[in-house]
Amino acid sequence: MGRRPIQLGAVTLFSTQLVALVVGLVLITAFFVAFRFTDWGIAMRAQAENREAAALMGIRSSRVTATAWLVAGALAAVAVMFIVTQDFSGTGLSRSTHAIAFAAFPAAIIGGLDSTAGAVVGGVIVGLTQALTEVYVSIPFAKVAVFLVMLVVLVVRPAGLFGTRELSRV
Amino acid sequence: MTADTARAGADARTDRADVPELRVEGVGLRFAGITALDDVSFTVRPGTVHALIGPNGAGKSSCFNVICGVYHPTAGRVRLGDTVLTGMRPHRLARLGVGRSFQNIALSQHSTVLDNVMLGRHSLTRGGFLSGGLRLPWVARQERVHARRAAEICEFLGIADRLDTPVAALPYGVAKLVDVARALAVEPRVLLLDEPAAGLNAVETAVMASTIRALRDALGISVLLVEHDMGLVMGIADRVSVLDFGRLIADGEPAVVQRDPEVVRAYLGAGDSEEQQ
Amino acid sequence: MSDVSDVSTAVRATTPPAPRPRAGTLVRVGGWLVLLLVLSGLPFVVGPGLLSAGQYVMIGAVGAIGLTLVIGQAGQLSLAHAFFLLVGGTSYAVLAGETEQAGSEYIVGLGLPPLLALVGAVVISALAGFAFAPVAGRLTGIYLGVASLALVFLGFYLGQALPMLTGGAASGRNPEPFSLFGFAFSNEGYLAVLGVPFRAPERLWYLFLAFTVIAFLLARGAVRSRVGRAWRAVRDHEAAAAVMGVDVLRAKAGAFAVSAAYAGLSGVMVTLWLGLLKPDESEFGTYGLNTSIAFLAMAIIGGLGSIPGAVVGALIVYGTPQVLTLFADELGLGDTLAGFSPTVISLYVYGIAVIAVVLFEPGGLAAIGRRIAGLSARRTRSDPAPATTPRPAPPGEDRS
Ligand SMILES: Nc1ncnc2c1ncn2[C@@H]1O[C@H](COP(=O)(O)OP(=O)(O)O)[C@@H](O)[C@H]1O
Ligand SMILES: [Mg+2]
Repeated sequence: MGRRPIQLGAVTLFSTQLVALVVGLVLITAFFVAFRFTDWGIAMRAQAENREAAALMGIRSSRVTATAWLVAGALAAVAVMFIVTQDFSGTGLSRSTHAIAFAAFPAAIIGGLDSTAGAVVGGVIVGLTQALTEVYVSIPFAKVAVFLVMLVVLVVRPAGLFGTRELSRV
Repeated sequence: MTADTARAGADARTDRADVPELRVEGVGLRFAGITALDDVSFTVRPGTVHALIGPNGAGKSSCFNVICGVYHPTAGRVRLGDTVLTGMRPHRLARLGVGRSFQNIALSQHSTVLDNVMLGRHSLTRGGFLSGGLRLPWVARQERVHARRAAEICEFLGIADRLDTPVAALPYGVAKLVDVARALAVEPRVLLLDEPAAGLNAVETAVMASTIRALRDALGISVLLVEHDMGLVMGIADRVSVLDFGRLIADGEPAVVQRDPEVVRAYLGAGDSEEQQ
Repeated sequence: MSDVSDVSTAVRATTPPAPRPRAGTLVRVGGWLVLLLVLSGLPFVVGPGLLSAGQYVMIGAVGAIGLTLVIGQAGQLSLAHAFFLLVGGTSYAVLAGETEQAGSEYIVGLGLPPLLALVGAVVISALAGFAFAPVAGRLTGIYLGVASLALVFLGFYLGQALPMLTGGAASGRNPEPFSLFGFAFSNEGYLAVLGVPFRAPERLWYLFLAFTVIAFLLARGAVRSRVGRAWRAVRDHEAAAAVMGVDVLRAKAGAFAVSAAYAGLSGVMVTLWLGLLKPDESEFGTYGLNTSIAFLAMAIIGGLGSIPGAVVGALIVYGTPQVLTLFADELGLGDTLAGFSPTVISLYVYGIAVIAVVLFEPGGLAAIGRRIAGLSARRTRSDPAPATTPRPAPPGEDRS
């Protein structure tokens, strides 16, 4: 892939990074639409809300679960394809590449696990926290900072920013 | 420590003179978009069986949750004698003598009956990780004394033969009794029972009715009872409060409340005519 | 149904007599004693290699018991175990060690007696667990799990950022060997028992065995007592637990603190075993996420909430790589399979074990054990089986 950086105003990008950005945006939009409008998306949301009720409404729990895993795996694969390129990791695939997956946890949690919009916002917050900390504090502290931000969010909003909190009914 | 000293506090509690009034004063409770309770007031007089009835979704369980401190009311308060319960953390209520059973059985399914009932002794006992882990002599003695008391309570409810059975293996009716046994293990002065006869057959319901009556007559404790079985309610209640859509629509003697036109309308209007019997 | 007056009168009965032990109990106690005897005799039979492997398993066992308490009994998912290991190890090294200039690093130490340092390390770990209470009390499930994960990353950072305490990621620091009343659990001084020289491996073996037995018995006792009931109530039905008088926040905080204390002891054992306290250089190390997950695997394989299960889980998860390493040559695992180190192989082993447990027996090995015990008990008992047989495989059974 082309190693020539692309200049966009003050921002320097490698073409892979640009492609990743575009692919990411396209996928996010696609999933927003799919979750909202397709049968599959509605089934998935229904099941997340209340598994039993969804099953009673005729939603096949096993199939929804299976496709959810399938999609999750596929999305991870897309992420890895970009991660292993030199422009991102500098080293290609390594034994600790899967450590990056743990960056996904805070993103999902900060946003709230049952919210797609939350995942995007969470991702942005994680990215910004990491980048800003790397520049203004130190690189080792960046990863901790992400988790600390997550802790603060959780203490204030125990189900994430956009998540719905379940009140136990007795 | 003997059984006497272990039970000293509890004995005083079940003394008829020591049972305080439970006053629900202007309680309101809102969830997003729903008014579950709206300015509800009633008083459970000492040593009486007080029934709280109303169609499904009327707010009966919510009212219990407010009394127990599980939900925080948006208005009003609950008092036990001179003590204001509202705002207290819920675990402190057990020590004050408030016991409760749950509408949907809330037991540890994989633990034995004895283990579940022993949970009710929590605020009457002491000991933490180290004393329990080391099985210090006083812990072992305390455990024996309270296990015996738990067994007595189970015997009183007719489930003593199931002490070592995991709750998951019990028929529904028996599990319901275990829930009541656990509430009694708290040595309550006021006992809240949320639909204790729901799902029971006619015989079991009759047994439950006589049990509740016995609790009032022999122990002198107050019972606040949510129940759909009108036969049961009218048979044993000294007083009845009726909730409909979170509002108190009637409060009085069973015979009077039963004839109250608004009560009749609430039940018929809710389409649960069979509940009226 | 008995008359209600029974309730009020029977109360005044005197203290019931202590229950007499039954035959089954005697058999069980006998079994444990035999096991203890065998373990005590091991240093006379096996070499230092296997002893050291066994010590590693005991490190795992102590930590796994702590984790199974907080996850299985109290229902609080914790991925922070590795962090508390680091806290315990570091605390011991600082409390027992001397202040010195080691190479380029200035290292702080308080020079306390090792026993005091050990107790201090466990207490500090417990306090660290307790400090997590504001978070633990508010969160449940996966939210709590990921939140606790934050501690592991914090530990990774602090380990490197505080070389004064940890010795730094490059070289670490050497902990003071444990000693008790002047007897050192190291190679110091010559000691032979029955002609077998007792050096560090043999001495540590008994030390670790004592730790494990104490940890085991404490947990077992606690689980069967008031604390255990409160934990299970919080796990199964928080609102009901509160109504029954359990301070839910305190119970959760307590469970976290106890589990952290166990992890702390486990961490002290790690430093003693390695003879080194060294914070990780990458996210995957002695105190990394992989360690948290290994402990989680032990607890799951053994059956969440089961204390003997946790020990067997440790045997599988921590025993496999050790044994594979010891017998690497015999098994033909020399340098030829460079990619498949014993560590990697054991990852597969316990990964598969976890999947098998989740798929086939959610109650883990403990449930299988109970079933076998139930079968043999039914065979030996003359009276017929109870009409209602308990459901199989209760996860986190109280009587472990
Ligand atoms: N935790 C909760 N969150 C939201 N709404 C609730 C909650 N608990 C109860 N409600 C609502 O409050 C109303 C009263 O419920 P409840 O007290 O359970 O009624 P009842 O016990 O009389 O059948 C219902 O509309 C119910 O949906
Ligand atoms: Mg209800």
